[in-house]
Amino acid sequence: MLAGVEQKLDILAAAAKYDAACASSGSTRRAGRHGLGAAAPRGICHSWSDDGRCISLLKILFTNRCIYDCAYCANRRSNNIPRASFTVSEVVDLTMAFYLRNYIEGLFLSSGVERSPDYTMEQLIAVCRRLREERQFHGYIHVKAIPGASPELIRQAGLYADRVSVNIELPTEESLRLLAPQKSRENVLTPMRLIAESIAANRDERRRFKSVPRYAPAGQSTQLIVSASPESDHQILRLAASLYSHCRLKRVYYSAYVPVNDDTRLPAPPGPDLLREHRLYQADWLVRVYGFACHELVDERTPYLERTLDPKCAWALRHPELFPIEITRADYETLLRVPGIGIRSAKRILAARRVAPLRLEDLANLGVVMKRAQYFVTCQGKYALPASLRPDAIRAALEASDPARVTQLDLFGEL
Amino acid sequence: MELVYDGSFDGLLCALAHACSCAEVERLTSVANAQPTLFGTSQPVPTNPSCAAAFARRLRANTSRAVLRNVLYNFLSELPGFEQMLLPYVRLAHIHGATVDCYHTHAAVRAVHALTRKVGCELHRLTGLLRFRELKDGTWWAPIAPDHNVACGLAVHFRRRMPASTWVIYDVRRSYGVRWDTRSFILVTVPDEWRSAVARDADAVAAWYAESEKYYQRLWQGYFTSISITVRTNPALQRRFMPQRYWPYLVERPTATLHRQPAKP
Repeated sequence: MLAGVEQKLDILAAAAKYDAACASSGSTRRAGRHGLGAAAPRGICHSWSDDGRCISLLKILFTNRCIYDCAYCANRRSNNIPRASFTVSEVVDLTMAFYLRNYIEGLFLSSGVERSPDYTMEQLIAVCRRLREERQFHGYIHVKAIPGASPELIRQAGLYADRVSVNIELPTEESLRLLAPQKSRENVLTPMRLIAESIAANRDERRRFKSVPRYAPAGQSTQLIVSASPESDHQILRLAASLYSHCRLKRVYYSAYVPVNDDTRLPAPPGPDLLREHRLYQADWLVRVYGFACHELVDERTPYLERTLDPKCAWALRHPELFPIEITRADYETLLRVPGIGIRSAKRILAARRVAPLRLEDLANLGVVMKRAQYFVTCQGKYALPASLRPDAIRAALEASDPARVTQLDLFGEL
Repeated sequence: MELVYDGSFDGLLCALAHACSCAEVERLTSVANAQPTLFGTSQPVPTNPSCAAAFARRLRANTSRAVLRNVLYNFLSELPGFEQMLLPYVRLAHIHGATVDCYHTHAAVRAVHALTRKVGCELHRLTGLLRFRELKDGTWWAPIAPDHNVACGLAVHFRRRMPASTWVIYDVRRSYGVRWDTRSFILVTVPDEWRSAVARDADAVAAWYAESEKYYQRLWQGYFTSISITVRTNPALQRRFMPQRYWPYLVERPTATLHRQPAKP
């Protein structure tokens, strides 16, 4: 059946919605006098859909026809769903039209595997090439590398796209074998390493010759499905940490498993485990930005993050010997480890104490969340509370005021 | 003593220049907000572009770009009485130079930073939430109704993005637009019948839309619905990022209704 662009867009947008990646940041591009588009380094969100997730890119599959039969995927071969494929010019026209109207920041193009990985990858590259070369499009492009496609094609994709990514989907080889028998871990990691190497090589080259075109300037990312398989938070975060250090990934996205298929191999939870996803993201930020090591948050003995408390508070309560911290003397890295102090407030503390003495009353004005920080800091030797509390009393107070618990209780269900 | 300036940015700079050299000045007010005072005196400041430019240059050289940007963004906020915090801030900047922005514990510095952040935040938000509509003559038309006066800031952003198109960003609330004609900016007004129509409804001028416009709007509305994951519906989160006051000029129509929790006993 020949579907119009309108139906195709419905089908192929709905098929792409479980991919969590939406970043449009980390790249700078500029149109010349005649081109269209620019990429802003800090990224721009253009709308927020009814589920509260931002819409930054036109997120679509090129086709939802697929030769694979992965248990967790809505587009698997054995599912009886409407199938559609775009043509290259349809995607190009749609992207240009949406971009001109400022609906989107760029294109996020993924695809089911039609015929063969190589064939599919060639189609994706054709879209990118036509946008960049024929239409002079300088907006953001995020393209998926299809596992199993030839290295040459994957290398080409990075020349046109800002970000290239491969989804790991499941954290361990065993789960992958069980739920996605036609895929293998190697199949995913090979393109990931290839992209990492190309980015590193490109950085070296550009150091010598400024004229070398940039390769995937916004780096690469990946996604893990959480709660579809029995892995612990420890396994997931250890994998993420190693991807950050070895493959130099920009982001690992976590997607709470939403049951889309009836499959005996999969769990059937009443709803997505959004609280676990939330805690994993919090821990991920601590590892990626705040300088925590993965084993400080979870280890073999405590393989799961606490659900009732954010990972930073939980870490601080496990280490009463390190607190309280004297705000007027602590260095930046130490400040970042205090619950209630973030990047912005830590920088403000450093700046403010350089020019004037800090008082305890000032901390709230600097953006420190005193509700959490009050238990862990002193300022000029003064403690905010009349007497220091025992860790279990602090824990009770913190749990009662945890934002995820207070504001989103109804969303996360039973805690 | 109170200084009264004409309400323009040049006027504000001239008033600040005067206030920095004269310690008796206690207040700045724009002529629109000026009220006769029972005690004290008020004095008008003449607006002189070359004096304003000289002050801006001096401020920039003695402090930093960031300080000058704070002055501009506070002015663009158009909040009544923003000058009362700006004046001590600029005076402090004269004493401390660029380090004035480190005094986060100083009330005036904090207030100025907060206002700058507010305006900058709206500017950034609208770079995403602004929607162009194609008109029959090929012009792209974008009505907005921002809280602060950010249309010119948006125009600078879109010049980088769409240099080869002709477009108009029209501020419905302040009844002026910025037009880019692929070479330069012009400030424009629109015909009266448009002005009142657009204030009621973003699509009131649909008769002027190009033929394909409605088609692409429908595609976008469809996409907006398809991309949402139903089991994760979260209207509170949606509203936090995209406040409802921006919805009238969007093309998409958020549909999730806010389900309020009954108050806990």
